[in-house]
Amino acid sequence: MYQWAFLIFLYLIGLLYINVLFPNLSNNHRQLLSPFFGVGFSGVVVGFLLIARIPLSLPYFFICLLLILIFAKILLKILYLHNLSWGQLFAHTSSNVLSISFVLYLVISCFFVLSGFADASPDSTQFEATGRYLAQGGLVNSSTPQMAFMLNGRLLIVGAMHAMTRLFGGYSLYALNPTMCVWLLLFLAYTIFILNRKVDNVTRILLLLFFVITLGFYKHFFNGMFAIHSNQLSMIFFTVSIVSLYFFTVTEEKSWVYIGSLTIGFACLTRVDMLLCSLIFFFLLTLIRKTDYNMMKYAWYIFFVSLLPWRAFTLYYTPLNTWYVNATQLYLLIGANIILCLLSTQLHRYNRTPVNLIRKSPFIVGPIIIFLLIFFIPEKVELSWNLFIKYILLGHSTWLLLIISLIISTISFYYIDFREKNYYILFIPTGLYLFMLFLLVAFAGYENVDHSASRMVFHTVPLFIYSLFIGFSTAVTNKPKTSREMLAS
Amino acid sequence: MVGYDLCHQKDFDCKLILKSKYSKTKKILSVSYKSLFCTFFQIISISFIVLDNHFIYEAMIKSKNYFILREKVRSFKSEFGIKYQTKNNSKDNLIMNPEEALNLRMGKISAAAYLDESTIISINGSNRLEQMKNFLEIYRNSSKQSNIIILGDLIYEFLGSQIDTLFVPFKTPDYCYEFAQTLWCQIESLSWFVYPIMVVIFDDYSYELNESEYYSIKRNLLRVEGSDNTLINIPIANRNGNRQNYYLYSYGKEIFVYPLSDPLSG
Repeated sequence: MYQWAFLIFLYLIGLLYINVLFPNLSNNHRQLLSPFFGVGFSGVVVGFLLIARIPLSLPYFFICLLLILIFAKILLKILYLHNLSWGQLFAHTSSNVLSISFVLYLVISCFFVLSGFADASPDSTQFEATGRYLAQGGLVNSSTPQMAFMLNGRLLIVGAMHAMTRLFGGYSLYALNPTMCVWLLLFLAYTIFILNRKVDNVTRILLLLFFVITLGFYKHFFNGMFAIHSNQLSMIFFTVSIVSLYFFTVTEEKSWVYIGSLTIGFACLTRVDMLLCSLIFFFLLTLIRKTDYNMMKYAWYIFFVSLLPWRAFTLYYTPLNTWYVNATQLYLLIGANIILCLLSTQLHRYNRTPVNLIRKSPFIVGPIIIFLLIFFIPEKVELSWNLFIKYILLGHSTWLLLIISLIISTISFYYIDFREKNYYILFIPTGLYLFMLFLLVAFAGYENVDHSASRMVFHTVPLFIYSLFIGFSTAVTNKPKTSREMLAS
Repeated sequence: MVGYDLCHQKDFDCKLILKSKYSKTKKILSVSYKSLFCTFFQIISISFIVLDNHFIYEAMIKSKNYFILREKVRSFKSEFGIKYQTKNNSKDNLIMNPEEALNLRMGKISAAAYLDESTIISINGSNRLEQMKNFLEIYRNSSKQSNIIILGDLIYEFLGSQIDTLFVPFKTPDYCYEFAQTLWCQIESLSWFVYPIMVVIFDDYSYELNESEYYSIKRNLLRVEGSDNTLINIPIANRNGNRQNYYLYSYGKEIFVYPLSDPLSG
């Protein structure tokens, strides 16, 4: 039951943070996002304590959590964004607790804690070991064996969650991933329900149920959510960030951009390779016509503030030559994000964003990159072609039906994109992400059946299936319409 | 009811409009060919995902037809040059038989493993025992790395306040170390698991027990089964005693954590 207490804590702390940061969101959205924020901010606090060289303990954790909350509140007040008094904030949060959403969360988390079912892999042992190390007072220092691997491979967020479970009195963490995955399923189902307001209620409910069954029982999602690994939280944060962008195009509410930017920051704190996904997120943000310079600037600020302190800290302990992620690779990933930041902010600063060209750029740049790689390093392309395309996507790892589905849905993409311009935001990330994985395997690949790229395909599964359903609901409604019209009630 | 086609030149979108026989001005159904075409492909796409359902898959893999279909797909892939067989060089594939792997995943084998429950209850209480059982059920036989963390868990749980330094003879440049008939991989995890206990790799002691040493050491021990039938034995120590150095010993499929470098001297 200690683990259940920890899961409830994540919801409540997330709710408190989201009430401070985004009070203008609807109550349902805040409730549905709160566990993800709880996980993210708890991870950030653990990171802060590690950077400050303070051994992890519950009192220090709570003090730090409160300090960050106070800092965020003061900052928002200075920026004249929101000015909720402490009394209002706690009253708001307390009233939120007495809700169907919270009760549902209690039931789901309790079910997974009691069921005790989890799927452990070799990597799970290291996540568990990292959590024990931190909970038992371990700090980051070079004398600890494999410290660089622990920092870049097993921390921050998942290792932090394992450590916090121990501090809360739990034995080992296993119920977090299934709880969060089911919560993501509910969040996505709710947004599908909201986005189809013009359709009659029976159809909406049927569509919602069909989506829940399709994604919930999809082989990789159903089995994958029980795994003790970092892929599940990465998938959740990545999906929430892209769906947030789509919601921004629908509602024109800026908060969604900042939510997306924060959650993609959390994704990058969960897994280092998610720094590739942040490129996709900001690429998509750049081509949204409603994005202005300030919004773009603040989105990057939020992303870098959540990410850079930890990454700079890990860089200090990461040698140039190590078997896991090395310093050069980290510099490259962070550097790519900084370059995109400079480009995208400058384009928006002078209102010179060639949106149409940017939209088409993946179809132009992608083949050029492949052509150049074939020309200069054909052996790397061959490795990636064999390992990623033939073996992982079309072979042993049984992603085959998902890939067939992706290819078929591409046929209808052009038409749906004509009807709903912002469909691009939901559909394109899957293709871009798979392309990036192809490049990742080419440059950092090794011949092994247990290649992590196989698990990384999982990150894009909910988003792809979600895009299929949004595409389907767009296709069955006749008239061309914008997102705004879809939401209008 | 009558129907006719209407084509818009602008977006080349043809519509089939059905009108009521009695009220010709009232359009009762308007279907866009493009929309139909597109909906059809979306439904096909979603159908493939639905087909990849967990329950359908679990039911299918038990049928002969699935194997026939799988062989056909494989031969198709071979024919078109998209089949690739990588070397099975993963260090983590402990169980190669898929049926056995499935059984293990479902907890059918691990649930029957040995655990000295009464001793654990007397030391840590029944609540901790339940949590520990759950931990063991999740990790036991999950991979080659599970033995090392089960050992680490037992040491921290029962000897955490007793050990200053733990000497282990895992002196190998390889990822895994064979200790008598037991296997230990990713040794670093042990250091992380038992922190702040120091783990030192040291093999200058006779860590393989003979029969007399085995019977001498095997008294008043807590016994837990790890992965691959490995039995882990740890002494039930006085929890308020002073910290001392401990050593790791092996005998067949059993390993022992013991406070003396010479087991017979105890």
